[in-house]
Amino acid sequence: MIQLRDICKSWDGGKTFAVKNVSLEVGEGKVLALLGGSGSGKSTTVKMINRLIEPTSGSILIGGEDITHQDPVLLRRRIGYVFQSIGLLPHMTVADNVTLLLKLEGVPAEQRKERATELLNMVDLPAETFAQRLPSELSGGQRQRVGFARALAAEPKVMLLDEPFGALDPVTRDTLQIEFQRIQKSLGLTAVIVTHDMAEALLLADMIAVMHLGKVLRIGTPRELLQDPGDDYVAKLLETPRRHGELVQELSS
Amino acid sequence: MFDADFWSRLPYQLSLLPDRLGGHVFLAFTALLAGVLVSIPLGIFCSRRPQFERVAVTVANIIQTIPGMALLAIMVFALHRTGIMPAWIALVLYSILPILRNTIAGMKSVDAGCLEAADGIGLNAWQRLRIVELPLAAPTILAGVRTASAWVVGAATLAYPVGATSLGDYIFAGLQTSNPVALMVGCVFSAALALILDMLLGGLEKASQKRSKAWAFGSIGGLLLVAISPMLLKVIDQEQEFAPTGEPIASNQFVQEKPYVIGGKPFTEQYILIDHLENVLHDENRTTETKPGLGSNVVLESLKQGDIDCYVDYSGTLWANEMKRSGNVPPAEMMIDIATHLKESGVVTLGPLGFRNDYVFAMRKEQADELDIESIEDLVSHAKDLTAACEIEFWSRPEWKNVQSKYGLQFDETKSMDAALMYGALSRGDADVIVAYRTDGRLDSGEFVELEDPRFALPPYDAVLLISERLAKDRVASEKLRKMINTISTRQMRKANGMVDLHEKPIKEAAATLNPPAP
Repeated sequence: MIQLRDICKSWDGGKTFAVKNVSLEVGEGKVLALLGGSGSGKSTTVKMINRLIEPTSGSILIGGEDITHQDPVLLRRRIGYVFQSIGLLPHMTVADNVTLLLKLEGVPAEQRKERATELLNMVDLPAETFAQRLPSELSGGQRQRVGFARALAAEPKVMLLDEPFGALDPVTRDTLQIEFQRIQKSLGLTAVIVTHDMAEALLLADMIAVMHLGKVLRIGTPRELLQDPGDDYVAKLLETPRRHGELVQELSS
Repeated sequence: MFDADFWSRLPYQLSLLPDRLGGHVFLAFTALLAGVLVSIPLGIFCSRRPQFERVAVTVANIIQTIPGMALLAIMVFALHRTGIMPAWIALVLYSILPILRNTIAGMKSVDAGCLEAADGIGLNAWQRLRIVELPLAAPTILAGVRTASAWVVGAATLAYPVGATSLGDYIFAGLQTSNPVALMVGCVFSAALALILDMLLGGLEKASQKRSKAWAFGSIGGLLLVAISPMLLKVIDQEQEFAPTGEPIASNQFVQEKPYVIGGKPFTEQYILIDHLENVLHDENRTTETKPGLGSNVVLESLKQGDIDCYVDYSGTLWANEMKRSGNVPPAEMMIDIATHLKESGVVTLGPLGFRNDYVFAMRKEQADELDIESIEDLVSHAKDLTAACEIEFWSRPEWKNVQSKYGLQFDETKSMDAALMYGALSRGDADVIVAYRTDGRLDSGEFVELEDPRFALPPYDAVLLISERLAKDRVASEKLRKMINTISTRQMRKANGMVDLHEKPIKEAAATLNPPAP
């Protein structure tokens, strides 16, 4: 469904590379996690898929079509995008935020209202309570739920998530991760999720690509990575959730 | 101040309000609107290109540091004309900085997350600006508009000396003719206008913060109401007045295309002369407009440009300032030279009005008697203990240099002050000698004595009637004006000035005492 072929990104005309020779593939209905520390190039890579950042070289295909020559605005309308700071517009109600794009595309008010209700219910925010609230009247977790609903408004087949749970407390994060998984499965979304949290990647992804200094170190299913890290850096990343697990088990037995 | 006399003169001043408030509101509103239309797009552009931002803000800053009066003067010279245009452009320039600065700041303050969301969900550049950036920057931008409006409404009062109508007419004319009623009306209404505008723009700012349509509509409605208020005043005014019956009929089948514009400089005598000239032209059924209070250099320039048709200047001023001549010549010859010189620029010199308004040294009678001073010559030996006061321009004029070289006069201290204030200063003892104008009515109070000039250091300043080519072609009217030659004596002029300056009589009453030209 999504293919990245030999993607490079340089901000200084080729002296240094933020992303270098990255090739990835995500099958339809699958979730790929881009995992790495800050500066690894994972965010840059995902933003090149909806052309918030233009690649220096290489090609990107979605559903077999090369998107580097498409109109970026139309492209983004077909791709759901969720990111850490959410960016809800403070001067619009929750319902208006969620259906902004539909309004621009000329969907009549009645239909928009229906769709907003449907989307808000899907992310577990009862429309009758939340539709007319302003973003400032919501908690962090509720805001990110609205962020999800907004990304789903135009019924995209592809979702890009740039550390979507990064700013949330552990309990909220856990709940939202599970809900994301439920929605992703039920709608059959193809998704790329950027995270620095190995546990999150293991939980949500079908495939994990570990990035470091602009390059992909290792690609594999969660099981493959756990069985054979294949790289010291990957092994180190895996150690944290493993140790936490062991510790919890030890204490509870 | 607020005595019966004040209240009795108030209605006349208020009858002038619709025009002046109208001029003021028109100037301020259109200038502010133009400022908004220039500065907001410029600010948006600059917020995206930091290299332009520095240039634009620096230029706007420099404009802002130019004093309002100076900026107006620059515009008059740059555009080579007087009237509403230079004033308007100066005000537009004035309004740019606060709006520009706040637009840039507002655009930069828009939350990065909202911008990422706008791009991420697929807004195009225009949608992003309209839906995300402008609404979020609006409170900051509107705060800038509010600052600009306060500046523009204030600065519009300065439009008076370049010939644009505004509430400044009350203030300047009030100061120059010592008319507290006009001053008070001007100050009250310009302050009220500034306050109301500030309140309404404050409402709009609040609307943008609260995202409240009710506040927005209320504020915009209020702004519209202020914008049309002068017209409403006019309507009320007309309903109260009876329409004059009978149209003036043009004599000799002469058809006047547009009113003759009578100009004048900013002091009492000139206001009286404007009224006198109007009376003379009205007698011939000509329609007139007036442009009082023009700057000394602006007024002749306006006549050359045809912005005005007629005014009274003084031979010595034309001789020194316009013709750059020095040295004394007999008045008759000076008049011929002036007429020849002005003809080249299309100005017709009709001749002297009869009175002379040259510089004269004056002292308190009491002190002059005590020191036994009767002439400038007698003054020389006492001058080192005395303080002299005059309008600032005198101290740099050739006349003063001439007096210094012919008499060797050297004062202990020289002060510069407005002509309207120096008589008070002399009376109080803040100054011992003033350089006054011969026809100033305030010299007649009995308190002062004029000093002789036995060495003729001060040149004559004969009042000269100048008209435009357009008016000169109107035979009947220009012949009538020519009959004004030598009809006003220095005594009469001083008396008329005194009526206004000392006895606070209306200009009209003073003008009526001047002799009408022979039929």
